[in-house]
Amino acid sequence: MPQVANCKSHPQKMPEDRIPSGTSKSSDELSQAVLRSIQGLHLGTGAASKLLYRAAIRIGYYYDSPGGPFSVRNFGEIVREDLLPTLNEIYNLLTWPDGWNGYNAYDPKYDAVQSASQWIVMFYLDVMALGMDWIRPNVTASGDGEVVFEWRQGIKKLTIYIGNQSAEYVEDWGPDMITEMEDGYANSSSMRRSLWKWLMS
Amino acid sequence: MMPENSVDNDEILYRRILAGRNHYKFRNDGIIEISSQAFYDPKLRISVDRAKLCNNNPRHTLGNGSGVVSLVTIDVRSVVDRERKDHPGQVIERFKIDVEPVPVPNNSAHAEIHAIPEFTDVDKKRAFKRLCQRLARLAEARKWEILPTSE
Repeated sequence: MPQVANCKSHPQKMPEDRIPSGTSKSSDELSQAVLRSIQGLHLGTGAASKLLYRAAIRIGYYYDSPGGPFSVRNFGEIVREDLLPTLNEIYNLLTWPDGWNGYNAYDPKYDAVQSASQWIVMFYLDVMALGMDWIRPNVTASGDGEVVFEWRQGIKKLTIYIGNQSAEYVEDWGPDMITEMEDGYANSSSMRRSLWKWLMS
Repeated sequence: MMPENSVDNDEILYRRILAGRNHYKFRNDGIIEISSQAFYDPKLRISVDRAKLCNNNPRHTLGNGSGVVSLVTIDVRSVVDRERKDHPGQVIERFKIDVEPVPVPNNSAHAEIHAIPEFTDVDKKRAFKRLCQRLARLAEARKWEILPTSE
């Protein structure tokens, strides 16, 4: 049985960060090799196992492994562990009353909260698929009852508004509202990935 | 003090920020980040108080809030907001941002930041959200009038 203890003993080099994620033939072969290694493991619930689960999420293994060592439940647990604080904050918005901001705000809407809790999981999986690190968002609400996620990276700000139908984004990287802001919809996986790459670049 | 008919460019405007709503965050470098949502108003007019009509005392604005931030009127009026476009993408309106006195029974210092022409629901998706982003940056560039509690 392969050793997994090294995962703990070399905290500076997490295995998930070393999983190849390119699109070339060699990257694909490497990914398959890593996948075979992971499949050979008897995974438990320790820290090393969690790292490997995350590594598998990053190479997309969770999509087609119903009978493998990674059950949907395992992946669900990993996602929940990383997102639990955020999901708690999202559902906590339902306790905010009208006027919650001290002015005229409407209470956060249940449909928006439901949509936001699903959208953030999809965004998390998109970020994992990119092989990039996840940053926990600031969670708040708009005065119109939407759920709002905010991330900052240096001067860059990414704001996501989630209503009951769709997700919208505002990118902001400076004071000029015409040339240093962009906005649009963030409903597709490709757009979410593009937003995260912009934020982290 | 009686409210005046217009707000001078050099007037300071106060805005209350509540604790427990994730509208601000203390960073390790000492900066307090302000969320754009601290300025979002579903009526598309943002309430502020004119400092000179409340004895330059931000406690007038604090209420049950946690902190008070400020803006300078000329900075707000200098904001160039996005235009409104029709379906083919032609510009049909360009917004100018202004501040006007809107005294209310218990608060003669009350004023509102608004657009000319007025924002409507179609502008919520773009122009108004951008304005909130900009106001948060303007507030962040100034010292807090009353520091918030840490969340």
